[in-house]
Amino acid sequence: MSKKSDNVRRTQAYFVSMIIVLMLLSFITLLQTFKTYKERGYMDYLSFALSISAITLSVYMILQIKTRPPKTGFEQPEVFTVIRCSKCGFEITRKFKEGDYVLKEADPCPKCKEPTFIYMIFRKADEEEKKRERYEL
Amino acid sequence: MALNQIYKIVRHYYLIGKKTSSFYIILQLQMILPQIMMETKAYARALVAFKNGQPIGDGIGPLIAARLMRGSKSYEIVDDTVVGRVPLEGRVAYVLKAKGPGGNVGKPGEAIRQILEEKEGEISRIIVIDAAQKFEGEKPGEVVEGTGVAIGGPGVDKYKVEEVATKYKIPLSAILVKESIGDVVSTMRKEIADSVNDVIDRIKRIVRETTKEGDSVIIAGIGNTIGIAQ
Repeated sequence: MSKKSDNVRRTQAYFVSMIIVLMLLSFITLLQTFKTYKERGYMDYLSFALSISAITLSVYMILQIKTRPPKTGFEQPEVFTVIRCSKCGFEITRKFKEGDYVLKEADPCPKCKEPTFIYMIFRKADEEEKKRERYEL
Repeated sequence: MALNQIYKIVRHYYLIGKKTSSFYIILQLQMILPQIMMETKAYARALVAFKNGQPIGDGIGPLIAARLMRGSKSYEIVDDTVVGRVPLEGRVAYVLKAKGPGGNVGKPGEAIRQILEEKEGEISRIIVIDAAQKFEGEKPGEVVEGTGVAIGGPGVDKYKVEEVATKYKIPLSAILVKESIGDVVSTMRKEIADSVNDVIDRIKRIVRETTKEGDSVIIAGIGNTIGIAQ
C-alpha cells in the first residue's frame, strides 16, 4: 500500500519537474524570439505561438494539479432514529446508534413514563441526490 | 459481490479496449460510466447499511408488516418467516414478514401456501406489499396499487403464491412503494419511511371495500428485513 502511494507521489514530482522544464524552455524561446526581433527586425511567429501555447499549457497543468479531486460520492449519509411513546405519541429523533432496530424497546417516555420503541430509522437524502431528482421538463 | 462484478466488467472492457487499441470499446465504457457510478455508490452505501444493521429501502414491505404486527403474538410458520394474527377493520389479518432484525428475506411463498392449506382456502384476499423500481423523474416513496403477486427475484415465491391462489380462487392485490435502484439497497430514505402510513391506509381501504366483516385476509410484507424486528 505504502509502496503504491510512494509511486503516486514520485509520479507527481516527476510531472511537476517536467512542467517546470517545459515552462523554462518556453520562456527562453520567447526571449530568444524577442531578441531576434530587436536585433534583426525579423519576427519568428511560429516560435512565438509555440512558446505562448507551451506556457499556457504548463499553467493549465499546474492549476489542474492544484485543484482538489472531485467528491467521489462515497461519503456516508447521516442516519437518524425516531423513538416514539406507545401511549402519548411523544417522539424523539436522535442520531443512529449501533444496535438500533425498528420496534426495539427504548427508555421510558420522559412525559408519561410509558415504554417507548424505535418507530423509524432513516437517512436524509444528500444535496446531490435531491438535485438529481429535481427535473424540469 | 455486486461491486466485484462491476469491477470485473469495467476491467474487461478497459483491457479489451487497450488490447485491441479500439477507441470505440473505451467509448462505450465512457458512455455508461455515469450509470455505473450511480450503482456503485448505491452498493457502497449498502455495505455500511448492512454492517450497521440499518433498514434498507427494500425493507419497506417488512416495515409495514412490522407496524401492523406490533403488539400481537407472532410465530415462525416456515424457516425465517413469521406470521402474526392481527385484528384489522373487523377482519382477521394474517400478517407475514421475514424474521428480523437480521438481514433476511424469508420464504413468503411457502408461508402463504402454508396459511392457505391450514385455513383450507378460507381467505378472502391476499395483499402483497413490496418495493418497486421507479423511473427517473418519479417521486421516491410514491405508493401505487395493482393486481397480482408483487414479488421480485427469480420467481419461485411468485409462482408458489400464484399457484395456491389460483387453486383456491383467491383475489390478489399489490401495493408498491416506488424507489430507485440506489434507494433499494442503501439505508431507507425519509420519503420512503414516511410512506408507511399511506400504505396502511390503503390496506385498510382495500380490506373494507373487498371483504366482509369476519373474513380473513393475508398481508405479506416482501423484502429484506434488516434492521426491522417484529
